[in-house]
Amino acid sequence: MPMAVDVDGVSKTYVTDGVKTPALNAVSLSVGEAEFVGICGPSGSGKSTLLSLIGGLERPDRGQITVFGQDLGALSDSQLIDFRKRHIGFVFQDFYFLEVLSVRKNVALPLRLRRLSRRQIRDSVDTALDLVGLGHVADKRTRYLSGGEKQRAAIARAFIANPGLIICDEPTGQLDRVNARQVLDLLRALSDRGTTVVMVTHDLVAADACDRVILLDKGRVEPAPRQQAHA
Amino acid sequence: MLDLIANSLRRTWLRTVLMIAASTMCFLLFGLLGTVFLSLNKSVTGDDSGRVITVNRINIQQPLPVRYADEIARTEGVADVSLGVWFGGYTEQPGQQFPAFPVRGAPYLALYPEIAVDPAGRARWLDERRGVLVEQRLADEEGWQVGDAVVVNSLIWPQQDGSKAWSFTVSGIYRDDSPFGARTLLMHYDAFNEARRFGTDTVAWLVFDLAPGADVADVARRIDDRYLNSGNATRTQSEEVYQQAYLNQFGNLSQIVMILAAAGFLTSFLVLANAQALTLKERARDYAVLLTLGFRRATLALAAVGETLLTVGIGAVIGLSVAWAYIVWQPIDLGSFLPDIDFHGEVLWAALPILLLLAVLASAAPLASTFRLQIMESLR
Repeated sequence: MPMAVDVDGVSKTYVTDGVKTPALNAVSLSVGEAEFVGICGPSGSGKSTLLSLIGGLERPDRGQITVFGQDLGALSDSQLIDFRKRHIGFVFQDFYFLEVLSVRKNVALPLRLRRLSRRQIRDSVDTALDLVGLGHVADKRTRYLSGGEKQRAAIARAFIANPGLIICDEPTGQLDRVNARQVLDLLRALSDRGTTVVMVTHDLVAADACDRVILLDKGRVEPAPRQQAHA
Repeated sequence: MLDLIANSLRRTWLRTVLMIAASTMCFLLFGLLGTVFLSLNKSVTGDDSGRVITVNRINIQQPLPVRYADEIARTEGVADVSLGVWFGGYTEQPGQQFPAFPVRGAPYLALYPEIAVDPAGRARWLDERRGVLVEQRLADEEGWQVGDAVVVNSLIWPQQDGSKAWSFTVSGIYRDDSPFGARTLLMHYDAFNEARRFGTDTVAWLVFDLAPGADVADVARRIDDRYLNSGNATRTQSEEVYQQAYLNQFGNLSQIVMILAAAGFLTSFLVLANAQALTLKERARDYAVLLTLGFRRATLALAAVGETLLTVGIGAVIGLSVAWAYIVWQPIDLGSFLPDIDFHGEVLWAALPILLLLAVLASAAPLASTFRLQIMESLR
């Protein structure tokens, strides 16, 4: 299986007020293309740090991260921004919408960076919102959406530009069981369509939906308890 | 991005309104003070007439003997010579003075070609000892017409009988669009001199043209040297320098105006910079999201400057419009001794760099923060 993500010996330590806090210690892992991988572990295990490093939002202190064959460490800040724009979509636990914009305009943001006509953008947004079942709230402000609707809108924003990799940080963390199931189904559908999904979660139900789960503890990868192939 | 700016401004509408108000005040002040500044400067530098003025060396208020006029006329390099006296004219309220001058008629009109009077009016005035020439705007204000018998009160000069109410006939009406020309009134020095109770045979200033090829510094030095040890030493200078010295009597007006404008600018800058800093702090997470999605820092910085520019720009349009309207409909009256204050187009051009400077300066700190912004820190 061709590799979408390859993490090799990555370490990261945060320094706050002179106090060093190790987050990751020589982590190595790989994620295949179109794989749906869960990263699990207790709080402070380094899950979100690993996700931000794979997403190119931060740089590791040591080690190498390769996404779709590109060594992220070799890219300048502006090249990294371009790379994210073309290859990576993000879903956050707290959604992170621009509250001054409508659902439609929030979802359209990644397309605004491409040379597309207004009509093309509108059509793509309508399709994406229909796919996640939010066509009826397209023109509402995001603050009027329920938690489940917000997360589905966030997923629409993440996949609308057809990235090869979608990174999700606790996407079901704030959702009830029904809404969590809908979100996981959406992510599964994206994976089935060929998108690689890397999801941080501490939710066992969410982990169960993944093809494979990687355990992190104290900044290190633990031996996997199981590997589950998606049927 | 325009959507984002517009919606952001709407979301914090009260702050937006206050920012626009701060900018409006800045440009209102700039429009009014800039107009005064330009009017004062144009009154000095706008007219290179070539005329030369001689006044008392002590100060402009001290008189000179009228015989100096004839003596100076005989000086090599001097052409037409006229003279003038402050009359301090008003009709009803002493506070509503207009510039009235006893002058020597024919040479004065020759020296001031900007006084546009029809030949009949000119001839009538030169013939009528108690006649006056009245500038169009003063005539319109007072409702005077040619041939009217009018009474002009003097703040300074009583007649032989003690009365300060002087009777004249309007001989002609003229137009003078030079900086000090509006609302002026000219009367004959000889008639005035005979009728006044004191100060006979004195003048406030002498004005003359140079003969072709004469050098103003050379002529001025010869005149001033001649009277250096007399009881009435003179100071001779070009009209431009004289006007500047005259304006300086009232203090360094240009400097005062500039200081006030700078204070207004600084205050507005502080208000806007503070508001922008608050705005960016609130929007740090939004910017982090946009950076995550692939927007460039330069784009976000441009949006921040654009937002400030829009806010300041709206304020500038309102402020300058109000300044223009105020000056047009409610002219600034600096008294009859200072030139007319007109709104100058240069104020608008000068406002453009001020607008850009204000927007960039007010955005400077937020801009720096935008380029330093750490995505993950802002999202946590």
